Amino acid sequence: MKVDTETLYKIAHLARLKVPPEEEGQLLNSLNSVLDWMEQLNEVDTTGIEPLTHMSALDEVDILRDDVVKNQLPRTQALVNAPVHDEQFIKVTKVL
Amino acid sequence: MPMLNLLPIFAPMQAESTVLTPPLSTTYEAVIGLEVHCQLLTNSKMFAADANAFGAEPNTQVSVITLAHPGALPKANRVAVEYAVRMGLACGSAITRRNIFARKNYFYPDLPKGYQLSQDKGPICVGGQIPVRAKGFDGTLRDTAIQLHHIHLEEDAGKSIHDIDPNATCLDYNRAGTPLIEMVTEPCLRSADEAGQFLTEVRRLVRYLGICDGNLEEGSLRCDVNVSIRPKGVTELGTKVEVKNLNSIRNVMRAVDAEFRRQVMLTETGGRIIQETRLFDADLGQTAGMREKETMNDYRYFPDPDLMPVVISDAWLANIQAGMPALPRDLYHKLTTQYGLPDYDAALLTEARELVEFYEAVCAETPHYKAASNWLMGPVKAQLSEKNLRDRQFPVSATALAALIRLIDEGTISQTAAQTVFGLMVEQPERSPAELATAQGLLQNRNTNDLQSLIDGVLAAWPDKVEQYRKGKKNLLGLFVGEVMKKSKGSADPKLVNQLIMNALS
Repeated sequence: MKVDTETLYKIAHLARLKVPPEEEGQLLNSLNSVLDWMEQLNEVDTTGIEPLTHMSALDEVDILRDDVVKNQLPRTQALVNAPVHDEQFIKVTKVL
Repeated sequence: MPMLNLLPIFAPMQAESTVLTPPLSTTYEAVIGLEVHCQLLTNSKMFAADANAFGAEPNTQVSVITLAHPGALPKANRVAVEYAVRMGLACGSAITRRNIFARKNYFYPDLPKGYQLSQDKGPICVGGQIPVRAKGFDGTLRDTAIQLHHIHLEEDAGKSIHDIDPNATCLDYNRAGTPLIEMVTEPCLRSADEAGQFLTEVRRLVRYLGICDGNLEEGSLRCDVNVSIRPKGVTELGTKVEVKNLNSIRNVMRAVDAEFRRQVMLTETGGRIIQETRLFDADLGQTAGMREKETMNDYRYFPDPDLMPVVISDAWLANIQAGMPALPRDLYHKLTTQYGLPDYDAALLTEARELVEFYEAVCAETPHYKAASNWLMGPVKAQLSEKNLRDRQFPVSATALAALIRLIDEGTISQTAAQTVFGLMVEQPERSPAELATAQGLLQNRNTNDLQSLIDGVLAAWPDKVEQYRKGKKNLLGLFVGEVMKKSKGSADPKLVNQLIMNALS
C-alpha cells in the first residue's frame, strides 16, 4: 500500500492537522517507509490463526467492574482544565 | 416526467395532509429499517464508576475517565453487559461469547476522548426478532416478526446545549459514558404502523426486563429511521435516507410517512434521491436535509487496547438466563389460559409489567378473575393515569382490592357503591373496604320493609308516570329504580329494588 497526496490530506483532515505544502514530500516519505516496514508482516502465513486484538495473556479477560458509583470529580475540579468555562459548563465555539 | 398531471395527486400543498392517492401509493413501497438506542438503567456508567442518572446538575456526574484525562483506564460495567444479554435473550438473538470493544473515532465537542467506545465486529447479540401485529403497507393488519440485524453495546456522548449562551455551545458531560444498547433492524419494515408497533414493543420489552425506562421524551429511548423506496415487485434496495430527531413514537410514524411521500414525489418528478441524513421537523411534519458534511465519515474503528475482551461463559449466561423475568408474551398466554381472560383483557393487562404483577397478586386472593380484570382495566388504570403513579406505589393493595371484589360478590355492597368505596380506598388506603363501606353507610340495604317504604314514597310522588307505566310504557321502570336508589343514597340492592317495584306495579 502506498500513501498518495490525496490520502495524506485526508488523514490530516481526520486528525484536524494542517499540513504545510513544503512538508508534504517529507511526510509522504516517512508514512510510506512506516507502511513498507509493516508490510514485512505479510510474509508470515497466518492461515487459520485468529486475529490478535490484545497483547496480554489470553486468560486476561473479564476485567469487569461492579455497578457501584464512586470516584466522581467535584465540579470545580472537573471544569478547571477547560480553557473556557463558567461554574456549570465547559464552553466551546458555537457548533450550531 | 411531466409534473402537470401529478399536481392534483399531491394537492393540497400543506405538507402533512399531502396524501398519496393510487396509483402512486400502490406503485412504490417503503423499505424501512430502524436503529434504536436504549439507555441502560445501571447505577454507574459503561466504562467508569460515575453515576448514571437523569436530571442532575450539569457536570456533576463525571470522572477522570469520562473526561478523558491522560492515563485514565476504563473498565466495563458487569451489569450493563448482563442487561444487553437480557435483551438478546428476549429477542432470541445469538449471544456473542467473546466481546471486543472498539474505538469509533471522530471529533465533536460532546465526545471528550475523540472516540466513542462501541462494538464494531462481533456485536454482543446477533440476529433475533420481535413479533408485532401491525398494519402492513396495504393497510391490512398482519402478524409479522421484525428481524434484528444485531444489538451492540456502546457508550453515549455528552450533551451540547445551544440555547443558554448566545456566543458559545455549553457542554454537559453527565450523559457521556452512559451505557447504551443499539438495536439495528433489518430493512424489513414496510409501513409507519409497523415502525410504531415495533417501537412500542421494544419499549414494553425493555421495561419488562428492567433494563431501560423507555422514555422517548427524555431521550432514554431514541430512534433513527432509514427509509428508501422502490417500485413494487423490485427486490433491489433504493438509496436510503436516514431521519433523526424523533422524540416520540408518533413522530417516528409521521416521519416515515413524510419521508416516503417526499421520495416518491421526488422520483416521480424526475429528481434523484441522495444518501443523506435529514432531520424531522415535528411542527411542519416534514424532513429537511442537514448541512452536507465536508468529507464522508471515516470512523477508523480499531479494538480498544485498554479494555480486555469480555467473555461470556456458559455459567454466566445460564445465570443471566435464570434471572430473566417473564416476558409479555408468556404472561399474555398465562392470562388467557390459566385465568381464562379474553384476548382483549390479556393484551391490556400485559401492557405494563406492574399491571400484570398486580393482577396476579389480586388473583391470588380471589377466584373472580374476570372481575379482577375489569377492576384493573377500568378504575385502577384510570387512577394510575390520573395520578401518574408509574414510578410510585399504587396506594391500594392487591389484598384490599380482592376484599372489595368479595364484598360485591357476597352482595354486601352494590357495584355502584363499590366504585365509591374504591375512590375512598385510594384516599385512605389504611382502612379496609368493609370499614369504609360501613362508615359511609354504603352497605347494601336488603331489608325489604325499608325499601318498600322508599318505593311507596317514590310511586306516590309520580302518579302520572305510574299511570303511563301501567298503560305500557315499561321503560319508565328505570326511572323509578333510579329514584329509589337516589333516596337510599346508593345503599339499596338495585336488583331487589327492581323486583319490588315490578311487584308493586303489577
